[in-house]
Amino acid sequence: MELEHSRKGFEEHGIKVAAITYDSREILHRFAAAQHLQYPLLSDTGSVVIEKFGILNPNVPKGNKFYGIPFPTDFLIGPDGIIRAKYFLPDYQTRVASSRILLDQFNAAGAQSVSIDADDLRVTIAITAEHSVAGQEIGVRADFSLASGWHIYGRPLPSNYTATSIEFEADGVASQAFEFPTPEQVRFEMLGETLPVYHGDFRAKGALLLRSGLKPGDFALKGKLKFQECSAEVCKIPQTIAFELPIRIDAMAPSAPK
Amino acid sequence: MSDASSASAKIIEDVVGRLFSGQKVTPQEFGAFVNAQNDGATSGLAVGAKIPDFALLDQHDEQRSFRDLSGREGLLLVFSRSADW
Repeated sequence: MELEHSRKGFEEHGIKVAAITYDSREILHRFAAAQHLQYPLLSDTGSVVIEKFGILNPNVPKGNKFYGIPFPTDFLIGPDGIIRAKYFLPDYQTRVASSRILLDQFNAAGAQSVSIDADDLRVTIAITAEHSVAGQEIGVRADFSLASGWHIYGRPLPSNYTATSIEFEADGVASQAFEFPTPEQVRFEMLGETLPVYHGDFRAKGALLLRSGLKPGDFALKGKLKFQECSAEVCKIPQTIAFELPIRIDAMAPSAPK
Repeated sequence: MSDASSASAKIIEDVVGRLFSGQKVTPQEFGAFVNAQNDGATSGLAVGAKIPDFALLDQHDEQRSFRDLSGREGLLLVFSRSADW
Protein backbone atom coordinates (compact mmCIF):
# COMPACT_ATOMS: atom_id res chain seq x y z
CA MET A 1 0.00 0.00 0.00
CA GLU A 2 1.27 3.36 -1.09
CA LEU A 3 1.02 5.09 2.28
CA GLU A 4 3.27 2.47 3.89
CA HIS A 5 5.85 3.23 1.24
CA SER A 6 5.80 6.97 1.98
CA ARG A 7 5.57 6.61 5.74
CA LYS A 8 9.32 6.72 6.42
CA GLY A 9 9.69 9.86 4.32
CA PHE A 10 7.04 11.62 6.40
CA GLU A 11 8.51 10.38 9.69
CA GLU A 12 11.91 11.77 8.75
CA HIS A 13 10.16 15.14 8.77
CA GLY A 14 8.47 14.50 12.11
CA ILE A 15 5.08 13.70 10.62
CA LYS A 16 3.26 10.52 11.49
CA VAL A 17 0.60 8.94 9.28
CA ALA A 18 -2.70 7.24 10.01
CA ALA A 19 -5.57 5.97 7.90
CA ILE A 20 -9.23 6.03 8.83
CA THR A 21 -12.18 4.10 7.37
CA TYR A 22 -15.62 3.06 8.55
CA ASP A 23 -14.55 -0.59 8.69
CA SER A 24 -14.63 -2.60 11.91
CA ARG A 25 -11.47 -3.13 13.89
CA GLU A 26 -11.45 -6.78 12.76
CA ILE A 27 -11.49 -5.85 9.09
CA LEU A 28 -8.72 -3.29 9.60
CA HIS A 29 -6.64 -5.77 11.59
CA ARG A 30 -6.91 -8.37 8.82
CA PHE A 31 -6.14 -5.81 6.11
CA ALA A 32 -3.15 -4.32 7.97
CA ALA A 33 -1.71 -7.79 8.62
CA ALA A 34 -2.17 -8.89 5.00
CA GLN A 35 -0.54 -5.71 3.66
CA HIS A 36 2.16 -5.50 6.37
CA LEU A 37 1.12 -1.98 7.34
CA GLN A 38 3.01 -0.32 10.16
CA TYR A 39 0.79 2.71 10.71
CA PRO A 40 -2.47 3.00 12.69
CA LEU A 41 -5.71 2.22 10.88
CA LEU A 42 -8.57 3.83 12.77
CA SER A 43 -12.01 2.27 12.91
CA ASP A 44 -14.67 4.93 12.46
CA THR A 45 -17.69 2.63 12.52
CA GLY A 46 -20.79 4.75 12.12
CA SER A 47 -18.70 7.35 10.25
CA VAL A 48 -18.88 9.78 13.17
CA VAL A 49 -15.43 11.29 12.59
CA ILE A 50 -15.93 11.21 8.80
CA GLU A 51 -19.00 13.37 9.36
CA LYS A 52 -17.18 15.68 11.80
CA PHE A 53 -14.55 16.35 9.16
CA GLY A 54 -17.32 17.29 6.72
CA ILE A 55 -16.60 14.64 4.10
CA LEU A 56 -19.44 12.16 4.49
CA ASN A 57 -20.72 11.20 1.02
CA PRO A 58 -24.47 11.98 1.01
CA ASN A 59 -25.13 10.20 -2.29
CA VAL A 60 -25.13 6.76 -0.74
CA PRO A 61 -28.46 6.15 0.98
CA LYS A 62 -28.82 4.72 4.49
CA GLY A 63 -29.29 0.97 4.40
CA ASN A 64 -26.94 0.69 1.43
CA LYS A 65 -23.81 -1.37 2.05
CA PHE A 66 -21.60 1.60 1.19
CA TYR A 67 -23.43 4.08 3.44
CA GLY A 68 -21.00 6.17 5.45
CA ILE A 69 -18.13 6.34 2.94
CA PRO A 70 -16.22 9.61 2.81
CA PHE A 71 -15.09 11.63 -0.18
CA PRO A 72 -11.48 10.38 -0.06
CA THR A 73 -9.42 13.21 1.41
CA ASP A 74 -6.00 13.49 3.05
CA PHE A 75 -5.60 16.08 5.82
CA LEU A 76 -2.14 17.28 6.77
CA ILE A 77 -2.55 18.49 10.39
CA GLY A 78 -0.01 20.48 12.40
CA PRO A 79 0.94 19.45 15.96
CA ASP A 80 -1.46 22.16 17.21
CA GLY A 81 -4.41 20.38 15.57
CA ILE A 82 -4.77 22.99 12.84
CA ILE A 83 -5.25 21.73 9.26
CA ARG A 84 -2.24 22.83 7.24
CA ALA A 85 -3.14 21.29 3.91
CA LYS A 86 -5.73 19.10 2.24
CA TYR A 87 -5.29 16.74 -0.67
CA PHE A 88 -8.25 15.73 -2.76
CA LEU A 89 -9.16 16.00 -6.38
CA PRO A 90 -12.53 17.11 -7.70
CA ASP A 91 -13.35 14.05 -9.72
CA TYR A 92 -12.33 11.50 -7.06
CA GLN A 93 -11.19 9.08 -9.71
CA THR A 94 -7.83 10.73 -9.33
CA ARG A 95 -5.98 9.91 -6.15
CA VAL A 96 -3.13 12.02 -4.97
CA ALA A 97 -0.19 9.71 -4.41
CA SER A 98 1.30 10.33 -0.96
CA SER A 99 4.71 10.43 -2.64
CA ARG A 100 3.50 13.59 -4.31
CA ILE A 101 2.48 15.01 -0.94
CA LEU A 102 5.98 14.21 0.30
CA LEU A 103 7.60 16.06 -2.58
CA ASP A 104 5.06 18.88 -2.41
CA GLN A 105 5.57 19.55 1.27
CA PHE A 106 9.25 18.85 1.71
CA ASN A 107 10.98 18.93 -1.65
CA ALA A 108 12.21 15.49 -0.67
CA ALA A 109 14.64 14.99 -3.52
CA GLY A 110 15.46 11.36 -2.72
CA ALA A 111 16.25 9.56 -5.93
CA GLN A 112 15.01 10.84 -9.25
CA SER A 113 12.36 8.20 -9.19
CA VAL A 114 8.92 7.92 -7.70
CA SER A 115 7.09 4.71 -6.87
CA ILE A 116 3.35 4.52 -7.09
CA ASP A 117 1.55 1.63 -5.42
CA ALA A 118 -1.97 0.89 -6.54
CA ASP A 119 -4.04 -2.07 -5.39
CA ASP A 120 -2.45 -4.69 -7.59
CA LEU A 121 0.37 -2.94 -9.29
CA ARG A 122 3.43 -0.93 -8.55
CA VAL A 123 4.93 1.56 -10.99
CA THR A 124 8.34 3.14 -10.58
CA ILE A 125 8.90 6.14 -12.80
CA ALA A 126 12.43 7.47 -13.16
CA ILE A 127 14.04 10.23 -15.15
CA THR A 128 17.53 9.58 -16.34
CA ALA A 129 19.02 12.91 -15.37
CA GLU A 130 19.42 14.47 -11.95
CA HIS A 131 19.91 17.85 -13.57
CA SER A 132 19.56 19.24 -17.03
CA VAL A 133 19.12 22.52 -18.88
CA ALA A 134 16.05 24.15 -20.36
CA GLY A 135 15.22 22.85 -23.81
CA GLN A 136 17.08 19.56 -23.27
CA GLU A 137 15.74 16.12 -23.89
CA ILE A 138 15.90 13.64 -21.00
CA GLY A 139 14.98 10.00 -20.77
CA VAL A 140 12.15 8.54 -18.70
CA ARG A 141 11.39 4.98 -17.86
CA ALA A 142 8.44 3.41 -16.10
CA ASP A 143 8.73 -0.05 -14.60
CA PHE A 144 5.41 -1.77 -14.04
CA SER A 145 4.89 -4.78 -11.80
CA LEU A 146 1.44 -6.33 -11.68
CA ALA A 147 0.13 -8.81 -9.14
CA SER A 148 -0.69 -12.23 -10.52
CA GLY A 149 -4.14 -12.45 -12.06
CA TRP A 150 -4.36 -8.73 -12.86
CA HIS A 151 -3.74 -6.93 -16.11
CA ILE A 152 -3.86 -3.41 -17.51
CA TYR A 153 -4.54 -2.35 -21.06
CA GLY A 154 -2.52 -1.36 -24.09
CA ARG A 155 -3.76 0.05 -27.36
CA PRO A 156 -5.83 0.03 -29.49
CA LEU A 157 -8.81 -0.32 -27.16
CA PRO A 158 -12.59 -0.02 -27.33
CA SER A 159 -13.65 3.32 -25.82
CA ASN A 160 -15.20 1.85 -22.69
CA TYR A 161 -11.79 0.76 -21.40
CA THR A 162 -8.90 2.89 -20.22
CA ALA A 163 -5.50 2.32 -21.80
CA THR A 164 -2.34 2.71 -19.78
CA SER A 165 -0.64 6.06 -20.22
CA ILE A 166 1.84 8.40 -18.62
CA GLU A 167 1.66 12.07 -19.43
CA PHE A 168 3.81 14.90 -18.13
CA GLU A 169 2.37 18.37 -17.76
CA ALA A 170 2.99 21.21 -20.15
CA ASP A 171 4.43 23.58 -17.54
CA GLY A 172 7.64 21.55 -17.59
CA VAL A 173 7.60 19.61 -20.81
CA ALA A 174 7.36 20.93 -24.38
CA SER A 175 6.89 17.51 -25.91
CA GLN A 176 7.05 13.88 -24.84
CA ALA A 177 6.88 10.45 -26.35
CA PHE A 178 6.39 7.13 -24.59
CA GLU A 179 7.00 3.73 -26.01
CA PHE A 180 5.12 0.85 -24.47
CA PRO A 181 6.01 -2.74 -25.32
CA THR A 182 3.70 -4.65 -27.62
CA PRO A 183 0.77 -5.85 -25.53
CA GLU A 184 -0.44 -9.41 -25.59
CA GLN A 185 -3.75 -10.01 -27.33
CA VAL A 186 -5.89 -12.01 -24.91
CA ARG A 187 -9.31 -13.45 -25.54
CA PHE A 188 -11.80 -12.82 -22.71
CA GLU A 189 -14.54 -15.42 -23.12
CA MET A 190 -16.92 -13.81 -20.63
CA LEU A 191 -16.78 -10.52 -22.51
CA GLY A 192 -16.60 -12.02 -25.98
CA GLU A 193 -13.70 -9.67 -26.73
CA THR A 194 -10.01 -9.89 -27.53
CA LEU A 195 -8.09 -7.10 -25.84
CA PRO A 196 -4.47 -5.89 -25.74
CA VAL A 197 -3.15 -6.42 -22.19
CA TYR A 198 -0.05 -6.16 -20.03
CA HIS A 199 0.58 -8.44 -17.08
CA GLY A 200 3.53 -9.30 -14.85
CA ASP A 201 6.55 -7.00 -15.14
CA PHE A 202 7.29 -4.72 -18.06
CA ARG A 203 8.96 -1.43 -18.85
CA ALA A 204 7.90 1.57 -20.87
CA LYS A 205 10.50 4.05 -22.10
CA GLY A 206 10.15 7.61 -23.16
CA ALA A 207 11.75 10.94 -23.79
CA LEU A 208 10.79 14.36 -22.50
CA LEU A 209 11.78 17.63 -24.10
CA LEU A 210 12.10 20.13 -21.26
CA ARG A 211 10.45 23.47 -21.94
CA SER A 212 12.97 26.03 -23.15
CA GLY A 213 11.60 28.69 -20.79
CA LEU A 214 12.46 26.79 -17.59
CA LYS A 215 14.41 28.92 -15.11
CA PRO A 216 17.52 27.57 -13.34
CA GLY A 217 16.79 26.00 -9.97
CA ASP A 218 14.77 23.12 -8.64
CA PHE A 219 11.76 22.13 -10.69
CA ALA A 220 9.07 19.53 -10.08
CA LEU A 221 8.09 17.65 -13.22
CA LYS A 222 4.45 16.79 -12.75
CA GLY A 223 2.71 13.96 -14.50
CA LYS A 224 -0.29 11.66 -14.43
CA LEU A 225 -0.36 7.89 -14.65
CA LYS A 226 -3.62 6.48 -16.02
CA PHE A 227 -4.61 2.84 -16.05
CA GLN A 228 -7.40 0.38 -15.45
CA GLU A 229 -6.81 -2.86 -13.55
CA CYS A 230 -8.89 -5.88 -14.51
CA SER A 231 -8.81 -9.54 -13.62
CA ALA A 232 -10.56 -12.26 -15.58
CA GLU A 233 -13.69 -11.59 -13.48
CA VAL A 234 -13.82 -7.93 -12.59
CA CYS A 235 -12.62 -4.48 -13.59
CA LYS A 236 -11.68 -1.81 -11.11
CA ILE A 237 -12.42 1.81 -11.84
CA PRO A 238 -9.94 3.55 -14.13
CA GLN A 239 -7.44 5.46 -12.07
CA THR A 240 -5.43 8.59 -12.60
CA ILE A 241 -2.58 9.04 -10.16
CA ALA A 242 -0.66 12.30 -10.07
CA PHE A 243 3.06 12.14 -9.38
CA GLU A 244 6.07 14.46 -9.30
CA LEU A 245 9.74 14.03 -10.12
CA PRO A 246 12.29 16.62 -9.04
CA ILE A 247 14.93 17.86 -11.42
CA ARG A 248 17.48 20.63 -11.11
CA ILE A 249 17.68 23.01 -14.04
CA ASP A 250 21.20 24.37 -14.53
CA ALA A 251 21.92 27.77 -15.96
CA MET A 252 23.12 27.52 -19.53
CA ALA A 253 26.78 28.35 -20.19
CA PRO A 254 27.00 31.20 -22.71
CA SER A 255 28.58 29.05 -25.41
CA ALA A 256 26.68 25.81 -24.68
CA PRO A 257 24.95 24.33 -27.74
CA LYS A 258 21.16 23.90 -27.49
CA MET B 1 -33.60 14.73 -1.80
CA SER B 2 -33.05 16.48 -5.15
CA ASP B 3 -33.66 14.69 -8.43
CA ALA B 4 -29.92 14.52 -9.17
CA SER B 5 -29.02 12.96 -5.86
CA SER B 6 -31.90 10.49 -5.90
CA ALA B 7 -30.80 9.44 -9.39
CA SER B 8 -27.27 9.01 -7.99
CA ALA B 9 -28.65 6.99 -5.07
CA LYS B 10 -30.51 4.67 -7.47
CA ILE B 11 -27.39 4.01 -9.51
CA ILE B 12 -25.40 3.30 -6.34
CA GLU B 13 -28.10 0.95 -4.96
CA ASP B 14 -28.29 -0.95 -8.22
CA VAL B 15 -24.55 -1.39 -8.76
CA VAL B 16 -23.75 -2.20 -5.11
CA GLY B 17 -26.49 -4.84 -5.10
CA ARG B 18 -25.11 -6.48 -8.20
CA LEU B 19 -21.47 -6.31 -7.10
CA PHE B 20 -22.17 -7.93 -3.75
CA SER B 21 -24.25 -10.69 -5.28
CA GLY B 22 -21.44 -11.53 -7.68
CA GLN B 23 -23.19 -10.24 -10.80
CA LYS B 24 -21.25 -8.61 -13.59
CA VAL B 25 -21.11 -4.86 -13.98
CA THR B 26 -19.98 -3.34 -17.25
CA PRO B 27 -17.22 -0.71 -17.27
CA GLN B 28 -19.78 1.93 -18.33
CA GLU B 29 -22.02 1.05 -15.39
CA PHE B 30 -19.06 1.19 -13.05
CA GLY B 31 -18.14 4.61 -14.48
CA ALA B 32 -21.68 5.84 -13.82
CA PHE B 33 -21.44 4.40 -10.30
CA VAL B 34 -18.23 6.34 -9.63
CA ASN B 35 -19.77 9.55 -10.98
CA ALA B 36 -22.84 9.00 -8.81
CA GLN B 37 -20.59 8.75 -5.75
CA ASN B 38 -18.78 11.94 -6.73
CA ASP B 39 -22.00 13.96 -7.11
CA GLY B 40 -21.62 17.17 -5.07
CA ALA B 41 -18.19 16.15 -3.79
CA THR B 42 -16.87 18.30 -0.99
CA SER B 43 -13.50 18.44 0.78
CA GLY B 44 -14.78 19.20 4.27
CA LEU B 45 -13.11 21.27 6.98
CA ALA B 46 -11.10 24.20 5.67
CA VAL B 47 -7.35 24.64 5.80
CA GLY B 48 -6.70 26.70 8.93
CA ALA B 49 -9.55 25.10 10.86
CA LYS B 50 -8.97 23.18 14.07
CA ILE B 51 -9.79 19.50 13.81
CA PRO B 52 -12.50 18.10 16.11
CA ASP B 53 -11.52 15.86 19.03
CA PHE B 54 -11.83 12.16 18.33
CA ALA B 55 -11.00 8.84 20.00
CA LEU B 56 -11.07 5.72 17.83
CA LEU B 57 -9.87 2.14 18.13
CA ASP B 58 -7.03 1.14 15.85
CA GLN B 59 -6.39 -2.32 14.34
CA HIS B 60 -4.67 -3.42 17.61
CA ASP B 61 -7.75 -2.53 19.69
CA GLU B 62 -6.02 0.50 21.19
CA GLN B 63 -7.80 3.79 21.73
CA ARG B 64 -6.13 6.54 19.69
CA SER B 65 -6.63 10.28 19.71
CA PHE B 66 -4.90 13.07 17.83
CA ARG B 67 -2.41 13.78 20.64
CA ASP B 68 -0.90 10.29 20.54
CA LEU B 69 -1.15 9.87 16.76
CA SER B 70 0.60 13.13 15.95
CA GLY B 71 4.35 13.36 15.40
CA ARG B 72 6.54 16.28 16.41
CA GLU B 73 5.49 18.11 13.22
CA GLY B 74 1.96 16.77 12.89
CA LEU B 75 -0.10 14.02 11.30
CA LEU B 76 -1.18 13.02 7.79
CA LEU B 77 -4.69 11.62 8.24
CA VAL B 78 -5.87 9.67 5.21
CA PHE B 79 -9.62 9.11 4.85
CA SER B 80 -10.26 6.11 2.61
CA ARG B 81 -13.49 4.47 1.55
CA SER B 82 -12.86 0.95 2.82
CA ALA B 83 -10.18 -1.62 3.48
CA ASP B 84 -12.71 -4.33 2.67
CA TRP B 85 -13.44 -3.57 -1.00
